[in-house]
Amino acid sequence: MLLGIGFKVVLITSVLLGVLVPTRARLLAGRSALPEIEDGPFSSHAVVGLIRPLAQLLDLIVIDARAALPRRRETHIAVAVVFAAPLSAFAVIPFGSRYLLGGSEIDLVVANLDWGILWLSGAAMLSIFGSIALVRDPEKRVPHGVVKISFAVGAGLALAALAMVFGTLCPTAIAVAQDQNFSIGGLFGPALVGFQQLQLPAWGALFQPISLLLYTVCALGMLQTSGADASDEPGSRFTGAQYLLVRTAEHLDHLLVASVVVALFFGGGALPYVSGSSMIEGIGAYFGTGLATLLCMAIHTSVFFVKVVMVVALLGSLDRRIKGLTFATSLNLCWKVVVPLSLLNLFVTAYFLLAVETAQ
Amino acid sequence: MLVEYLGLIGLLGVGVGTAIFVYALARRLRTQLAQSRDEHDSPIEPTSETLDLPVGSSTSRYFFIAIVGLILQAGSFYFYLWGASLREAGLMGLMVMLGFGMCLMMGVFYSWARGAVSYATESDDVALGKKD
Repeated sequence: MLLGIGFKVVLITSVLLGVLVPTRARLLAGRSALPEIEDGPFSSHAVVGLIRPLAQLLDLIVIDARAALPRRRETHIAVAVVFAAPLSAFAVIPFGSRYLLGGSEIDLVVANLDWGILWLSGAAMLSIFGSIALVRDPEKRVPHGVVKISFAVGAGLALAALAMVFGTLCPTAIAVAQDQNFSIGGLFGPALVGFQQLQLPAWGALFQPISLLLYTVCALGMLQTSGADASDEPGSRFTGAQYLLVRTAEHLDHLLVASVVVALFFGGGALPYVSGSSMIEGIGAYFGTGLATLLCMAIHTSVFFVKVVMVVALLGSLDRRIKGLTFATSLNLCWKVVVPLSLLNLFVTAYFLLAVETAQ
Repeated sequence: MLVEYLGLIGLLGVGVGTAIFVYALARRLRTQLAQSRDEHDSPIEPTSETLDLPVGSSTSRYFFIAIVGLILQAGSFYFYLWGASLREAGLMGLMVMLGFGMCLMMGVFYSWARGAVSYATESDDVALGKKD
């Protein structure tokens, strides 16, 4: 059991920091994940191949700050919080479904918590407080915090509506529920016989499209201002090590938003119309159930990460638009549109679900 | 079930541990580089200089909306729990939460009425780095 958890922690950390963060940096910024810096004491040696990025990384982290913040230890702690919070939120993101292997249940999630969605909100708040502490100018801290907290409220309410539909706060249970189809044949009359067999994947995006929209806007709104200014570069205010961690945390934040969208709204690792059980049954007829289950786990995990990269690419333009919003527009959007609409969506969903339950 | 928390703690530990490792590595490498170089050749500058930060100016106008936001954020945790147990709570639960939601919305409407949302000015955009 402990070995399994350790393996998952190492796997998710390696994939995130080793593959997805550099991929996002190259995909969206069109540049390397590392900033352009002059050759330092490490990369000035004749190093080639895979060793050169490592040498550049060492050159970056040895850069000291010329103008450090007065409270340097607090800055270190705030940077560590900003980096660790999104990473820890990945613990509750299911990158697959639930499988039966060798008589025991296996969940492709680092921590299968019943209150996983609450932890997503908690980690977001932790990250917000860390980033507020990083804001250089005390004059800017409160407005910066107000924007972030405002959007966090909208994101929280959007996820609450989704939890209502699935009747759970456990992301793994939501991922398992999405690995099925639901029939919409009842919507069509006898004249449309062909449509009466029509099925759709039971994805959160189809049950709660408004929540998806609100969550995406709010989550990207939360990330529109980070504690680091655009003008910050290694050696100006942050040390090279702090700069590396802050910029990595920015990528992790965006990847977390994409992962939540995929896991809770787009079926996680599930393929549409091909449930995990039918896949195992089909492959198992040739290779045996054990190998089929392992193959299914590998397919679901790969599909999850492909979906995450696709969502990251799709959200790029929306992210740029939200970053372009002025402070006044952000506040107005949040308090006059997003928060009232989120609450309305929540109560309408509750009424609809209770009405359906009563009718049944 | 408690073992599930180990995964969460593990990933949190990896995050904090990575940060500490990077800081420690940077510190050690800097010390070694400084020792192996003449002082004049060193490109690493001392860190005695600090930023001159303007302290003491008031941003209290934003505290009102920040407090409303934090209350709503705390309130949303109740919505999570209600959402997960909607079927058990039934119509009575809906009525109770409707009342709770209306109380929260009163805070939002009051902040509108006080003009808290309209406080933002062009200078705030400049302050937040949104405009030059």
